[in-house]
Amino acid sequence: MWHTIAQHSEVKEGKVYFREINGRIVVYGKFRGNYFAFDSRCPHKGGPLQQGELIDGKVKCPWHGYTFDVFTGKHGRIPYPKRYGRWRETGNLKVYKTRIKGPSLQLYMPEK
Amino acid sequence: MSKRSKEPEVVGREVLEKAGLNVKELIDKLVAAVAAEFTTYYYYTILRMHLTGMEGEGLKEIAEDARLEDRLHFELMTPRIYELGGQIPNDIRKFADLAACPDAYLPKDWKDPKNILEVLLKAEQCAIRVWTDVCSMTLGKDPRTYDLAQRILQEEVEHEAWFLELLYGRPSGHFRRRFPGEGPRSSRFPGSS
Repeated sequence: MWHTIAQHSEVKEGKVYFREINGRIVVYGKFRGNYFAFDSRCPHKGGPLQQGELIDGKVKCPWHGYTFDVFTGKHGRIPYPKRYGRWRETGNLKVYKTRIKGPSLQLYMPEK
Repeated sequence: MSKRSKEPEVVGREVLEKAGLNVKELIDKLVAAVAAEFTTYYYYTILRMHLTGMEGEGLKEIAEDARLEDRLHFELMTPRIYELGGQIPNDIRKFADLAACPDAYLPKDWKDPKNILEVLLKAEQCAIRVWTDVCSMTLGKDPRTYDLAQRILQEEVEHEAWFLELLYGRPSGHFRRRFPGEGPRSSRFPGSS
């Protein structure tokens, strides 16, 4: 189902916003003219990505420094050496499809 | 005699869901948080052993308070996971891999106690972020978990302050615990270790 999350004119380039939809916190913003939206939970250990930093199209988790592409969800270089074993493993970020409909920025979230 | 239904009604969980809390997500966060406390207790045992020599002797006792209190944090919050309908993993290896904070490994150059203190400091700072996240999630929605988490958070903030004082000379307001690992806010049985 499509959800309106903001008026797209209010979403400024390079800034990160968040809000709750269906009990989940979603993070959204705009980078190089393209809108993005993703789940706020870091796939590594659940850190709050709404407090993360947006750097060159990637979000950096404030807990352990993992980075994820805000459009594809793919994780960047893992910042812990191999001796941290399975603790350091991570999946990819859950990203949502976005669209502009009239004045609204919308994201697609599957029904539960 | 009436037949008992297979799944009991758990009002303690139902009220949380009605308050808009994602209970499954909370359980996941709590398991990761208590796993971090448990592994911290283990690693702090090693770190403390290596605070040696004249300089290390005083530092040992500060590290010991943090070590024992982090174990208390595990003890305090783990029952709450089960109350909510969750559990910790049956396999300790899996439990350690879930921990919200990285392993506090003994640094290679451990003979300089400052290097051990840096590891201790980073561990406490990670714990502060994790418990702050739990508090944010439960504030206004789950008074019981919030109360437990904020008690733990207060002690983690104290721990950070101690290590900051030792490393940077920043006053922490530290008063000695009445006995090692007193856990003034997190002990389930105040007055005992």
